[in-house]
Amino acid sequence: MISALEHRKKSAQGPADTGRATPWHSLHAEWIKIRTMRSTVFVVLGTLAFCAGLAALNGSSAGSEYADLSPADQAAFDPLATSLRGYLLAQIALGLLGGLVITSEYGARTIVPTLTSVPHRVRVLASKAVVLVGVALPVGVLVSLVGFLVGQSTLSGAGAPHLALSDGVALRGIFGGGVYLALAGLFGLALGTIIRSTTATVTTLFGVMLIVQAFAPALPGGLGDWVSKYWPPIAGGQIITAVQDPELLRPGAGLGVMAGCVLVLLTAAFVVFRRRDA
Amino acid sequence: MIEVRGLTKRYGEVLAVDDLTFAVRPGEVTGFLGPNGAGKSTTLRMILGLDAPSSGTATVGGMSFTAQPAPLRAVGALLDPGAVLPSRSAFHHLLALAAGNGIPRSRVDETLAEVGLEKVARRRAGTYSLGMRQRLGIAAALLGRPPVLVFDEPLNGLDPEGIVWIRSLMRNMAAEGRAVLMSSHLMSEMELTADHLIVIGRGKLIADTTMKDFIEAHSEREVLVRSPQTQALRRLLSEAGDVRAEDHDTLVVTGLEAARIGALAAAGGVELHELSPRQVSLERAFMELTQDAVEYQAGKETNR
Repeated sequence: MISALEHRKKSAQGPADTGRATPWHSLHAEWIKIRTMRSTVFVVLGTLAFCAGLAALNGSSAGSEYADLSPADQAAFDPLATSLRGYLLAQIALGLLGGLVITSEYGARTIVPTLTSVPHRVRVLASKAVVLVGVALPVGVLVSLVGFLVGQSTLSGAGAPHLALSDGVALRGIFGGGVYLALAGLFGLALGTIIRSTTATVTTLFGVMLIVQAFAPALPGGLGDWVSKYWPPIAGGQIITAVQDPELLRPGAGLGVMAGCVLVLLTAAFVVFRRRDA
Repeated sequence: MIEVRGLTKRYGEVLAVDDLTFAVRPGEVTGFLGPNGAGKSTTLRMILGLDAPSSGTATVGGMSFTAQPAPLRAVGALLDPGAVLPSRSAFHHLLALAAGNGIPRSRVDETLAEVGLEKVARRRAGTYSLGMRQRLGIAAALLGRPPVLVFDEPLNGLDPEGIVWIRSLMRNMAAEGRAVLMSSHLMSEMELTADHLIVIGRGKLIADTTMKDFIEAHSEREVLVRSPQTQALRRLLSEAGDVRAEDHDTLVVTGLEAARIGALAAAGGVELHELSPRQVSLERAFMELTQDAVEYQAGKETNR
């Protein structure tokens, strides 16, 4: 009896088995890959440490300076953004993780076995995007939450205004910040798919996410204003602010701009990935 | 069974693969032979859906590779033995590939044992030797027990033990009724492995023949004869074939079968000490066959 079952089990795995490969299988494969990529652990732990550390530093320094601020500056003081500022580097880290999901395959040339096991390219890239969001969204929410808690507690320790989790803007900042970081991951995935090189992807991420942001105020008048308002990572970053600059987009609209930009880039990535010789 | 019809790949002005048509049949090892740069890898990549043909088709079991319901169960491929993330273990590398086709975990362990990697399966692949990577690549090809196997230069850079292993593996796979396609740029690698031969040069088909026919058509067969009476033997044989002396007691005969030489010697009462047929190197035949293609390629490159 047992041997008959064994036999049937064996033959079920043989060449006669015509089990179809489904998108679920591909998703499972990509999940195994992302969790066995060493960079994933580094990115998650590094981001967490950085966001918590920066929230503590910003919280204590902003808290101690608060009392010396002018009344106007005190009114514009933003405890939420102060604690979530770590997103500036976290977006690069998660963008890099998104990029690595595909550029590591080109770097190690595993794209060949990947595509000879699942030649359905849209399925491959879609699976990568889904598992990436599956990692980046919880990580993004977690680092925002940790940043928020650490930052608010140091602010409160310094006697500056601070928020509690029960405040509406707090949840918007934490979850919105998480969504923004997941979008940054997808942004990296799209870039990596198009560029195929890890180094070039990282360089581009720094340029797009940090350098433009740093130089926007230096750009001539109209252009500078436009970039500061609509450049997707700057617009998307509004999601972590509790006190809005009237010159800039509202948090929701800003996140929408970032999402739109990611959608366009991802579409381009799908088209390129499907058409190009591997 | 792999069927390639009118397959063409053009990169700008250059025709990398030029109107190839051939079939790879089950139960045989088909050698895919050509000088470096002849278009072998490009052809294999088109068969596997990695590169899109400019025109023509390639099918596996009557279906294009990209349309296969479970690709790993249809074709096993080894294109690049180095293709593994250095920080990932062999086990996880295979597990991810297997998962993509719904192949169970037990089959991954089984395949690792088949290729002799079970002891190092949990180690980072970056620490593997070339031979171990090659075995890992073979394991990936065998995961789905496919009826068709495609190996690109599988013997490159292997030590003699590895060469023997892959050779017997390919022979066994063919004996089990699978279609095996193996590329190489060395005739000597084919001679001992392939049943059928497809030769290309400059992207064009040069020969599509059984190994036996190729050997017969392209190698002069010689028979080495040793005898203490070379003078008498020479007189007997030179009427029927070409005879030249190789040593004081050795003659080399072309154009006569060994059996016929023995019969002639016996009839003439000549004593023989050795009578052995031998082959002129097939490597030479292959080189002559593809010489034009190689020359053209070299010329092309200097023009750039």
